[in-house]
Amino acid sequence: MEKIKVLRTGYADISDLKPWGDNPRVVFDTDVEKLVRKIRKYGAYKPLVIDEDGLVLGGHARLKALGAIGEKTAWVSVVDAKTHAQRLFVAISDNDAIGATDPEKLMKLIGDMAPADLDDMTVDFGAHKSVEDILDEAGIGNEAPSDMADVSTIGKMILPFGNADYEKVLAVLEDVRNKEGKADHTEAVIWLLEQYAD
Amino acid sequence: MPIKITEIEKDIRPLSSLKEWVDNPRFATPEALKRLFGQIGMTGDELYKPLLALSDGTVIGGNQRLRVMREKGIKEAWVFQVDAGKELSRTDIVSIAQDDNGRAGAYVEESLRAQVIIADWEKDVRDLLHADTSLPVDMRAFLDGKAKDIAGDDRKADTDSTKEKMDTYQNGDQKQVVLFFMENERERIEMLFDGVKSRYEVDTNAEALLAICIDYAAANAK
Repeated sequence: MEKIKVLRTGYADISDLKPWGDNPRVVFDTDVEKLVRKIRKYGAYKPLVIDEDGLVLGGHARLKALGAIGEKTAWVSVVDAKTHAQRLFVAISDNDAIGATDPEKLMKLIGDMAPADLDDMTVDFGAHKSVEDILDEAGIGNEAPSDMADVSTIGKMILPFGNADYEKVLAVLEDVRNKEGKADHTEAVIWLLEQYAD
Repeated sequence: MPIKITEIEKDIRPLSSLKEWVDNPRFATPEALKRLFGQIGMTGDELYKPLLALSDGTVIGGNQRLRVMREKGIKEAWVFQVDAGKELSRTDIVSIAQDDNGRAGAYVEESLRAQVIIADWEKDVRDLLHADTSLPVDMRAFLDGKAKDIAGDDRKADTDSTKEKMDTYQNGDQKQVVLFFMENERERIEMLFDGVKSRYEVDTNAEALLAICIDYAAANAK
């Protein structure tokens, strides 16, 4: 992979910024609410990381939080990431918290703080997986890149539900996963389809 | 097409003016620092997000980057002074520092795996990246002692609840179940959905899944 150039920093119109469709992370509403409170209190102290076309590679939750606050512009850092591999590198490295937190040192730091002051703070204890492990779980960890060509097309199907229906579906999928030993929701759905299809 | 950026100047400071935060509760193993060494190298030894520093030069966000940059012999770095024009309490400083290491949201592991395959990185690039597939622990829960045994059952409980969340996208009042599969399986999955839609006389795949989930739940409640 070619190196990624860091181009410039500045302000971009939020209306020009686009969430990256291939972002492998999900954003939870509760995290956005926390970020809204933090940005209101401290201002923005981290730029969104974007490519030249305004594709957001790092900071999807902050983009949502800025939108919720009603900001029209966002502080951005622009990188020259033209390929999928470069974009994914930036996205994963942006979330790769190097190291971990020492619980004892943390306790010393926050032990005398009022509990209310700790609201909205989280802590990471370093339960990382290497990208190699993630591939190994799919049984393709050490194969040469050329051998991956035939598995490089991953299909995705999105099934939207209202909250109440979603809860019903999720409960069944969890039940199937537990009872039938299915690894994830996709496997659980396929098992169900096989049982109920005409 | 490139979007318009109103450029601002980066606050570039010599590393000699910066110092590590002595109260930093974070640590990194030599292996982790080696990864960071490589990551910074991939962006030409330049940072794409600034170190967070106080006016006295104490770095409260980016201490590991500071260490690695010194090791690399880099002389200056992009800095954002978090207390410029305002006074921050110790709580504020801790909050900003924790946030710098925090992450909003979580990985959808199947999606992450798919994207990594598509990226088709050489092994030396794959070796530079780790992904945390668990959720960060709530600080209040940590203080309450719930996260006392991080390596034990509590951590597992966190991971389990993360797994549940990772299989879904949340989008306001609507939630989504997302299926990931090899593209060459799509036809078979669509055929199975068609079979269910025909049996239950519904139009969409989501309605079909809901219908069989209702039947499954009813059958298993008996």
